Amino acid sequence: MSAMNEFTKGLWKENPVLVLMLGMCPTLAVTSSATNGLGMGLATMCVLMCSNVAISAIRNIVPKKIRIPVYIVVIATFVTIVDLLMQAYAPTALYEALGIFIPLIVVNCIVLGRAEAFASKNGALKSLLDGLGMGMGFTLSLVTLGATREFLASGSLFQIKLIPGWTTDFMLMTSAPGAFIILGLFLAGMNAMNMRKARKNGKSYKAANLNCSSCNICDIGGE
Amino acid sequence: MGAQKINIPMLGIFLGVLSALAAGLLSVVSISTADAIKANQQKKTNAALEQVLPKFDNVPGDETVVIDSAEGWPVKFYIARNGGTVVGYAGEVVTPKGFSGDVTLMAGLALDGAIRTVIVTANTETPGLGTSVTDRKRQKTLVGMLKGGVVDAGLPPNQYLDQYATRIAGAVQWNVVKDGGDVDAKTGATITSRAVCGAVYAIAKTCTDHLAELSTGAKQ
Repeated sequence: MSAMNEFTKGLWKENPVLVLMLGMCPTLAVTSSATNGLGMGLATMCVLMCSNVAISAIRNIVPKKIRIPVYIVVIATFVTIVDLLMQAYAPTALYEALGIFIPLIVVNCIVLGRAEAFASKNGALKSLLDGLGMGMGFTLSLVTLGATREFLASGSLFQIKLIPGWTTDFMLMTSAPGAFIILGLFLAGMNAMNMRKARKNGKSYKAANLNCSSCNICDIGGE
Repeated sequence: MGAQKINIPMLGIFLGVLSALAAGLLSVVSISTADAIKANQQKKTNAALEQVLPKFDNVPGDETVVIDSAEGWPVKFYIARNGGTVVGYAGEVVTPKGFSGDVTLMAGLALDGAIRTVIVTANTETPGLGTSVTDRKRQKTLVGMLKGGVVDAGLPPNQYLDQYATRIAGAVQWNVVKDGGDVDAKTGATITSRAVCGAVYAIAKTCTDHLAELSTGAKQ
């Protein structure tokens, strides 16, 4: 039951993009189409699962003082492996679209954040499930964002035109400002849904408290 | 926490050992994927060559000549043969004049230096604007897919790239209409259109200027 919870929390309740607000750089940059979002999401999920398991396995022997550099080495290793494997075996078009973003997974806050906040404190299986859940949550948000932007821009999904005769692209949606606007609307929608749910249960909704005292990533708040 | 003693050499050794392990793992992966990556790149070049050249049966990637254009850009020429006779050249050049970085362009050329087909093999232009000049894409539609329509073979058309076909480079530099030339530029993507125009001219001019060299280079 609790193991299942580690998996599902990443999908909605602690969705890395829409609730934790982590990894904004790849989110805004690659979601110009559904395909790109899917590829980036899956690559990140792969790295996240590998690094979570590896960090969880070595968590007891890593000296606390140098844990961050150790995590970076572990994550960078897995990212490079994913990069090489994708160069060798992924479709060329996908690698071309994502190529410049893959190395950025190293500094993706989601990966480092889960390593520090979860994998360094939990067992390997739980960490794997956490990585899978967070990765799926990330992928789902990226695909939804990418699909929305692609559809509004050119009336197509996964490069397949759904509305015949839509020939002129709506450029705002494929550019960076469009990414911010759509992400903002998504966040508003997420909050509205949570508020409605809280009201039904007779409670008042409070947005997640995002200051130091409620965060367990570093030791500043705890001490 | 302040009283805790830090053994700095130990920390260094720990990081060193971990990095060595990581490096070992990476070299294994790197070696085992090297062939596949190389094959992939070769496949990509070959696919591009097949699009711009007439039917050939040699490996043009093994017969290349690099000649600098007037701008000083190295133009890489691939020589295509069919049954031993030269049937065409493909020139590849990287122009730094794109809107957001380099644009790599390949043009197939007939024996007299006339352009056959132009394709852009790599670019980082603005999606939707610059890419409408550089990309050859056949739009799939839902209606078409439901009908199970015929899958078109061959190269998808692009009016901005196809306009160069049959042109032979003379002494006058080609220019987009805005600069007084006769090459159509995409509205909103003038810089990309200019970059493509300049690069195509560089390939074509280098080819016509060195036709003799290319045909002798091919004999070796």
